[in-house]
Amino acid sequence: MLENPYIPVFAKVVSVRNENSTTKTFTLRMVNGGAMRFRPGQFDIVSCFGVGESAFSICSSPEEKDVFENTVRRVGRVTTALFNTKPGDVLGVRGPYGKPWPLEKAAGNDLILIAGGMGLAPLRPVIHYVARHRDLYGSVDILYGARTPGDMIYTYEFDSWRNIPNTRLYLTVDYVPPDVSWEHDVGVVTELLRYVKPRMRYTTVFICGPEVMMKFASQMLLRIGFYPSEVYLSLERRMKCGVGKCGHCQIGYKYVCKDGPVFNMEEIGLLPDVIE
Amino acid sequence: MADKLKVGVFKFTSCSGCQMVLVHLEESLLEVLKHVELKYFRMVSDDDLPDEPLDAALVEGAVTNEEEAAMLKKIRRMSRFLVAAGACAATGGINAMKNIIPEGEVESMVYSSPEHIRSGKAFGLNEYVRVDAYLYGCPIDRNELVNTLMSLVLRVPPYIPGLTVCMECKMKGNECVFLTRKEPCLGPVTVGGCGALCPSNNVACEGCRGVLNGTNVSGLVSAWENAGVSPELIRLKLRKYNFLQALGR
Amino acid sequence: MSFVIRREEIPHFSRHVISKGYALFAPVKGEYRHVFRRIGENQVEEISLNYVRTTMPPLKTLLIPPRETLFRIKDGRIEETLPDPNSRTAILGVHPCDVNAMNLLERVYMDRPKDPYFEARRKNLLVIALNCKNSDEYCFCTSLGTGPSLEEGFDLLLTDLGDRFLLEVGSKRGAELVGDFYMPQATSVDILEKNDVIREARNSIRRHVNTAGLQRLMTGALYNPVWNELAEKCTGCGACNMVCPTCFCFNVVDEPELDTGGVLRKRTWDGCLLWEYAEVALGGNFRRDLSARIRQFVNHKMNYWLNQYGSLGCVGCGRCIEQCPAGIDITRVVARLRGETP
Repeated sequence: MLENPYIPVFAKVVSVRNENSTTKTFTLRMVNGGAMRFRPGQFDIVSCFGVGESAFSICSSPEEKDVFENTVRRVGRVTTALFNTKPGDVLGVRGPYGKPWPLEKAAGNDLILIAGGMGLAPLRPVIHYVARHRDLYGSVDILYGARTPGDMIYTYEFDSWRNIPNTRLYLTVDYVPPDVSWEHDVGVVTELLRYVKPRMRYTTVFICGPEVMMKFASQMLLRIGFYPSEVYLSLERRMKCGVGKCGHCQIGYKYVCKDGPVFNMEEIGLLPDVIE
Repeated sequence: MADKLKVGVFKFTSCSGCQMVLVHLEESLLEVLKHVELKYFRMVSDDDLPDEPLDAALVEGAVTNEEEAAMLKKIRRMSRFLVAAGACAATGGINAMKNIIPEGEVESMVYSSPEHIRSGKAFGLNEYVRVDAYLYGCPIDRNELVNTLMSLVLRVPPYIPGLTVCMECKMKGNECVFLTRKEPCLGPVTVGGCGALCPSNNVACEGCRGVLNGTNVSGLVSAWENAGVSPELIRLKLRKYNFLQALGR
Repeated sequence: MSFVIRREEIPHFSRHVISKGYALFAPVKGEYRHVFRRIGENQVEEISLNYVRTTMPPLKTLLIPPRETLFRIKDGRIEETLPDPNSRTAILGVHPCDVNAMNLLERVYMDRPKDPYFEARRKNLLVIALNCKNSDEYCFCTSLGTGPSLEEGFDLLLTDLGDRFLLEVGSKRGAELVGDFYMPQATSVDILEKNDVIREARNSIRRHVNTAGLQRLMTGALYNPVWNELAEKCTGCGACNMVCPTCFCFNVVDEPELDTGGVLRKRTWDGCLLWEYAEVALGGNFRRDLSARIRQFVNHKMNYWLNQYGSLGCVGCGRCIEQCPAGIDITRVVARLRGETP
């Protein structure tokens, strides 16, 4: 029989965790007992049968073999269907797909991780990986911004991230509602860069967030002396297949599903319809 | 099995053709009714509107007077999800053709004793309430109706693929009525999903499913003009299903 | 190995193909022009090999049907709905541009991971191609090296010599098919005549696109005002995507199958001219402007394909020009970007 890349395998919802009012994290386990062997930055495609498929960053620790996680914001049909699921329900899963963050290449370097909103999801496996292999990297700075404090995700892990040796977490929001206490920054995430004194040529930057945020962050980094090859972004595009056939995710001659979703600024270079 | 979806079917100013599509599902209707409970459907039952919330309201017709507007607002309040079913509910449909003529004039054109008529300009539902989803067409498409109901049964918003009638026409292997006969066809800018029903029967698309987001109606009009289509025909064509709006005219 | 088959023997030969268990597709005269149809044993007389272009690309339509079910899910089980691996299909009378377009589709769909639906159909497809004798104002295959004659990629190849066809064998499967069909061997006269036909066809082609340094030109012209001007004219209908023999994009939808209580996952042709094509969550869209979508279509064919699959993605069939309601002409777009025409 021919291998069929469009056919998902079954995965059971183990648990559902509320991140905020519009976002939940789903913990899944393969029904056949297999593992989702992925590398940080890769994504999977989840099926709700009768509704359709959507691509999500795999956001759990890459060393967790038994289960894996997708953080989902309710924005459309598939995500609404996911929000309707309960532990024990069965979904379809394909993947992992895509090029991961270059964690091997960055070994020995300092890391700056810049995330906006849901963009923290593909960086969470990086943080877990670094915590587990702390000797492989120099200092780690995590810069995270969201619209309001209530829009942040993984807040329950922030203390443990701060406790990773030689790791700092900087937080900022665009807006603090009147009844919320907030002891961190207010402003755009790029402003957090002022807390970081990068060792040039020994630092790799990973960015994920809204495209306009990535645009400003990457431009600022290039301005202060980073090479385009040292700045990596994770891009979001419409995807129907994940395997370079359906065409939707193309940016210039690149397929986000197989050439990305992680690209460095050098690769993105002059591509159209992206950070222009 | 989850609880059945509680649905109300309503009608304002329209011909009932879209409700008929639901009735005409026939065997499929029996399958649908395994998942759907029709709480209110005047065409098939005299039961009054129950005083309980609905999961979904399927609303046909344009709103043409204050009573209809008030009733629509009531339906909106009692329904979790509101579907505008058909061209009239979506944009005012055929009824909206009269909007550019003074009301008294239209009424005396149609009725012998217009003094009994209470009707104003015809608008789609979204002029008065929030609409959660649309079923396009005059009448609506039966497969889309089934898919929409089944999406609502799964408690997810329905999806109508955003392709053009023109694309579906090509997929069917039809020859282009515009290119072969210079007939002004609205297929290039009209929401697909009907399977290019009219052009497949050698009739130019009338645009009953409305303008597809992202298409260029003025580009199409220029193409018609260049092909020698008369300004009068172009005007009638664009007026029938409210395409003038997309031109900002 | 080459043979000669008399014109009036084509129906007989077609019946021979059907008798070998092939579902045969071939061009017949439609109301306006030729169309490819499934040919039953009693319809072989209707086959008409004197045509320039069909509106729809026949091979794409056969190999990637406009709507296709990928699988059914029912009672918690997935049932693959692959094409029958034992079915055999033959297509008779496809022109070189279309055969070359199929070879381009293979690069996409047979690239790993392979598309099993395409693969199953391609494996069972026998291609009886037909070199071009005539062209029309829209043809520009000579600019892309995809016609008017074919050198490879066929099982059998016909060339119209008037009262007879030259039939060349291009594969073992093709040889098997003609093995027990009596035809005289071709002579050097037939071959010379073929060369004349091809030369005449080649010389008849009046439309050209200059591909020299094309990629550099296109990349340099990404921000050219021409794209905005085209967006004024373009209707955004996506007809070009549908009729293009190399456009391969698809959308995926789930549909309830009421009578079985199952769900079908289907794919349907999609097109980059559509707004929805590059739309993402929360109303984001990476090609919001029609100008960006036209730019994507033209650049994909004339630029990106080269990086992605090693050759240009256009075969010069002329369909997108002929079928555009707004009269947009991809060859003229390139010429305008070169500054060769206003």
